[in-house]
Amino acid sequence: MDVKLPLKPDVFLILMILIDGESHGYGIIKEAEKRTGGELQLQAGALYRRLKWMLETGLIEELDAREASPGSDERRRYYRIAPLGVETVAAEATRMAALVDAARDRDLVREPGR
Amino acid sequence: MPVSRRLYRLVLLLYPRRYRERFGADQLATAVDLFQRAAHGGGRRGLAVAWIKALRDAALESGRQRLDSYRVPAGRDTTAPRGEMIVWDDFVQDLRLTLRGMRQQPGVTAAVLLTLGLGIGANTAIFSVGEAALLRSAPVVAPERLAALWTTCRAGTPRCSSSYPDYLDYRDRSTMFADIAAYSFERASLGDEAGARLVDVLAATGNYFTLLGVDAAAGRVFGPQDERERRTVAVISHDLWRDRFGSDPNAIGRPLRLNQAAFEVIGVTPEGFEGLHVGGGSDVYIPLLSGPALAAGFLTDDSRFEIRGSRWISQLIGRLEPGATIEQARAEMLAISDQLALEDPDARGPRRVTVDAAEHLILPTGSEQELLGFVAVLGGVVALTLLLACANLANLLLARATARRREIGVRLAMGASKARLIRQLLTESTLLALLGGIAGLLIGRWVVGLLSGYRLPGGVSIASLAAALDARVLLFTFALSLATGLVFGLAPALQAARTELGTSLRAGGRGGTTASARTRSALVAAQIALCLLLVTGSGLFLQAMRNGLHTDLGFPTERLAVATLDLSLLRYDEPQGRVFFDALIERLESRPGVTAAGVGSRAPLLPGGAATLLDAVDGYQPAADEELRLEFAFVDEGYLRALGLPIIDGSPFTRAEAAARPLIVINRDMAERWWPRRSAVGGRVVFNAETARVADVVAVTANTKWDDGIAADDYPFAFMPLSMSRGGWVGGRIAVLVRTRGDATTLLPVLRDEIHALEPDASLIELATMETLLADILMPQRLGASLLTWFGLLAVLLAGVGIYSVIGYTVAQRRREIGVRMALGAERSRVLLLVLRGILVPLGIGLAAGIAGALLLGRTIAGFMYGVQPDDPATIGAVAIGIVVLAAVAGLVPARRATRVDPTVALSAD
Repeated sequence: MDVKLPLKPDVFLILMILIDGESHGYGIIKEAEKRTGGELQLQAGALYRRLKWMLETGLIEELDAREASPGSDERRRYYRIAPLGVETVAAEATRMAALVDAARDRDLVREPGR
Repeated sequence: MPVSRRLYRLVLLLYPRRYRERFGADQLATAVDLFQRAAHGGGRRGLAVAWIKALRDAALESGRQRLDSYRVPAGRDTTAPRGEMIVWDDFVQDLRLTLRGMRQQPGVTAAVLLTLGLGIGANTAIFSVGEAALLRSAPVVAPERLAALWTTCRAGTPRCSSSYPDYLDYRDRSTMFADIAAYSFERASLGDEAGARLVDVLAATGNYFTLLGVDAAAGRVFGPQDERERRTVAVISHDLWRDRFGSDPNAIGRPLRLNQAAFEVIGVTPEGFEGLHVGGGSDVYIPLLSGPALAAGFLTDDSRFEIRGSRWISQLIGRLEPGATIEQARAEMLAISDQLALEDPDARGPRRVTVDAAEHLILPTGSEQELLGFVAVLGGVVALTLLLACANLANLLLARATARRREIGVRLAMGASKARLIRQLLTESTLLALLGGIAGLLIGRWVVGLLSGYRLPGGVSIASLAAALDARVLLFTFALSLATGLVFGLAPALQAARTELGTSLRAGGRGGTTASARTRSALVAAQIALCLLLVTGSGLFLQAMRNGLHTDLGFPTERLAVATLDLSLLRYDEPQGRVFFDALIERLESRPGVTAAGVGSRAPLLPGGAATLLDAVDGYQPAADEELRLEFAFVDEGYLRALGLPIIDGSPFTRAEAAARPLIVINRDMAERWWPRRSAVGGRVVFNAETARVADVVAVTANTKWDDGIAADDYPFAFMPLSMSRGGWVGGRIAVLVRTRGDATTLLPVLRDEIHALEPDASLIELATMETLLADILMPQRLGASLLTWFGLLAVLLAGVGIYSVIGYTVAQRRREIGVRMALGAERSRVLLLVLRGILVPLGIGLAAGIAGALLLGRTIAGFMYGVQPDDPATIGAVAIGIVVLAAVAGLVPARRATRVDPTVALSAD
């Protein structure tokens, strides 16, 4: 299954999160909330839908279950970005940058602080 | 938190199993994390809010995941394990979708199921009954090697009784038959108690059971040894053993009183053995040569075994030699009987042997044609009904497929695979057919139950056939409905799956492709044509049957009571009989309300016919191949008066006249044929030129019909005095006719009482009013007429529903077009006219094809049937007009509704 651009915003965000390091489900949800300032509050089902798709398309990989915290009984699955995922998120970022440039040329972008 | 954990685990069940296995644990952990955070941050309220969100999420996402299962990814599929589990999950899914679809459209579903059920059920029932009557074999060894033999009647009919000496010669001289057995049907009263019941007795030669290969279920069957020694042994039927002896094994060896003669029970026939004839078997089997012990029949001594001319053996059955064919056997039998005729011409009349294959149960003599015709007609009508049902089903499915084109298109767009979609539609069609089949099974059993109260032509009661629903027919009709469901449910859906999503969405779900619209039009036309054919066919057969119903027997049938008794069972001889009946008549005639009473050897409509061939008629020159045949009854003086048959010449005999010389009363046809230019009275008929047995005509009656209502017009029936019967009339059934002024039903108990007053042990065989007997005889015709009427109505109803729904649907699809036209300012009436024009084509074609077909069918059928008008413009015209009106209404109702809607709404609505 080929991944077509543009990426869905959620997917882009998750990839960005995973670039910074592998994470488990709950971790991804928390980080997503933080980075969007509370805008995106993913529910468990929605999250795993995304994860499932990204696994199927090869953007991310899953690791063996690891201890949630050292010495804890609970095992959670960890997800990590795959090389294809890195490529894709880079391509998407580049595409968006080009768009923003074009917008900037027309004085559309509101810089923070202006 | 453990509570939330456990609850969320339940919520996860909404997801497909595959998904649960993969992500379930992790998602549970994540969700619990979220709950914990919410509880931690917001307390109970926070947890509740989190739960609401989680539930909504689960509902939406699980649905999405389930829909996702339609997609079969082209690339690597890391999530789906291959194997059985996929198929099961899919199947359950399909089933649920199908059931939901059915619930959403209960009306259509009910119509489809009912249609299928009726078509399947009716067909199965009729063919099962037909199969039981015509195609069943007895549980004997190699029934296909059996043949039934009869000797031709003196009067010419091919299947009549044989004589014992003739039987012996047939058996001994034949090389094509390994063995031939003979048997005769008798009745006897069983037991010692007063009013003992009458049982059916089969008196058979010693080789009967061995020829058939039937062994006893208990004890033993009788053999040639028993017959030679003339032992009074009896083999009882399984049913009699159960009813009378409680299936007690000690019944073997017990005595059995038949007509007060002592027999010994030596065995029981196997369960399920009911002899070789349609309509049930005998209760008791005894050796043929022991028959005289019963004193049944008209000769109470052994002479009937010796007189070649005495033909009383009902049936012969032969087993072919290995390698011999029926044709060879037939030819040989003909040669043997010709040889016998040369050797012993004493037995008067032609003697030839009729040989029929007896692989299936033997039908009552003479009824095969009628029965076959009956089953064929009903079968044809019912089959047409099934076709109509299928056409209806097809229409309904096509209409539904069109409506679902959008749904299918959307599903495909969302990634559902075509294979998956097809599997789902297959499940749907199969489920419909299956449910329809079950409905058909139930309805079929109900119909067979309904039919059990009736009789087929030939007198066999349907209940006695024990017709079980034939598995083959059930499977066939089920397969047919399944095929219809598949073709018409699947095909258009497949077509829809192939179209571009864009077109179907853009089209706003309009009437469907041209191809499917054309198919539906064709189906409507086909339904109209079938309907017309069915109505015509039914109408014609109804006509023929009604001809039979409105028979004029020639004499008034109301206010006439009939009783038949058999005094031979009580060993009456002729003088005793005469005394008995004279006393009876005297007592009856003294009763108030009785206008006339008489006795005779036969009652109208009841069995007991006798026929003969005359040697000559004085003054009449018969044509070269003309037979001087007549049927007759021996009657007393009061009989004709009681019967009320109009006398058109001469006057009936008195007892004194009858004692003086032999007399005969003939009917109008005979009189006009034999003595066209003078009164028949005084004319002479010659029974036997050699012995100078003659009779003089003393009166002429109007014509009558005596056997059943559908006999041909030409029915030569004559009456002769009792004194002419050479002692025979007491030896069989005797009929008593009583004509009354009031209601004959009230006379029945009186009749019975008077008979028993004179002879307490007399067993009444029949006691009924003539009207009841007539209704009974006509029952098969009535049954056929009812069935045809009901099926005709059913067919019309089915066709009507089909036509109405499809036309209505087609027009409703043109809503948008109508809206546009109205918006553009068209007049309502013109728009409606336009709609009607659209229906015109299928309507026209259907009517044309139907009427042409109906006329053709009419001509063909009229060729087979007697007294039927082929072109019945009234019926055809009425149905055609009815269909036109129906179609018009079906189209106009939705059309008018469409013209009323606000054009903008019609245009924007999808």
